[in-house]
Amino acid sequence: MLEEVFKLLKENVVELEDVDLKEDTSLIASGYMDSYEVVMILEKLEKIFSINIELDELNLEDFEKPINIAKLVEAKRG
Amino acid sequence: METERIVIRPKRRKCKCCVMPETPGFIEIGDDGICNICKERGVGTVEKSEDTFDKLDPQKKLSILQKKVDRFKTGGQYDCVCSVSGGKDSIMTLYIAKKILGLNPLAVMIDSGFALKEMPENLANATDILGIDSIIFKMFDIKDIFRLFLQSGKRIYYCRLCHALLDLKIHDIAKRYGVNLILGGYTKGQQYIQKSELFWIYEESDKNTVDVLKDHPKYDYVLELYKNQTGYFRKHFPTIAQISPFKYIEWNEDEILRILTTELKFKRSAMSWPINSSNCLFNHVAQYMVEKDFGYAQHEVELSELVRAGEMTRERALEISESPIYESAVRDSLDKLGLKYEDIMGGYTNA
Repeated sequence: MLEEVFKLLKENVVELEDVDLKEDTSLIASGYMDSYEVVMILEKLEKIFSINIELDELNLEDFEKPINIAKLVEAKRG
Repeated sequence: METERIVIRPKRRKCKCCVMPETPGFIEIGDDGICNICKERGVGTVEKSEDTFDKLDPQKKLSILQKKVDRFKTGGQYDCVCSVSGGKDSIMTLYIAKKILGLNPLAVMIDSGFALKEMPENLANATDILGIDSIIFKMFDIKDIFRLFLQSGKRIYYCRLCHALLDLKIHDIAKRYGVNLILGGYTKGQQYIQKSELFWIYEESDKNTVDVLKDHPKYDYVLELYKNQTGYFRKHFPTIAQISPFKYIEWNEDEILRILTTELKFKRSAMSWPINSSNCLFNHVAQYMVEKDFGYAQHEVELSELVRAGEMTRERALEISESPIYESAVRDSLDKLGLKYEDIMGGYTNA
């Protein structure tokens, strides 16, 4: 799951193309991702993993690190 | 300029590293004189992480920006919409869009009814010289809503509502012209998604905004927007992205002013708050209310972040944040809303 998240981030966030991503790489606080990228990644996750994440329940902390994103997807998949 | 009467504001102790004022429960200044935000973000005593986007090579950041904007081109008449207030950051964004990124932008200024005269003049000069199409769109809803807010006496951050409505109109115009990219001249300090010290202000202000507007069906669209701003924009403008060039290009106030004054006939306004900014006349009222009700808001946060990023000295940030609030500007703003200075400034109560 983590590798899939890395791939998704690198393919869709230009700022991360050359970054050596690790599971705890800071994505938002570090300035790599802004709100647009967060929502864009959320939508990609929904499509790729057939999950639903309501924007009302969007928690930025879930997108702060790749490991957090992976955990969010796993939680949504049940 | 004649001697202006200045509105007296509450004095607060400020962090010795940035310009955040002591605000019990939210901004705590230690015995060392440093605030909790500076300590959390790595200024003063904590070593700052090296692994940030800011640390990338400037050429690399510029190439990322170029790649990013190129992705949003639709092949239509315009490559992007530039949101222009008429101030230095937004005029510089026009310059960057046209001369550095090679884009064909549509410049859009939204006039809330409080625009200072230098702002449309700066837009006209820049677009004439750079050869850019432009629109000025005047919105009357903002004045009406501000009147309702002031009459309610509730604690509301006026700039938040105004920004949301301006943003909405800019997106609407971009959509009408088939444009998928909006460039806005937001500085690093204005990346508010990261600024948790603003969240409590937004929460209370948003709650009070909804309380005031729920009895006015004309503003149901604002309530829908406030219910979930991110969701609203994704629902109504799913293909449109918003980027600030200053995330990728160093923001240097002196260099920006040099370019704008020598090449684009740029003029600053002495009647704006802060002084020499592009903020509208009403910002004198908004800033007074913010300091009285919340202690600080986006200006202080932006300036403090620029200081932490090394893009502004603390002295310059203090000078800006302590710009005078002019009584005449407050009176003129309230007069435009049909309100009396003594009623609003003399008898203002907190919710």
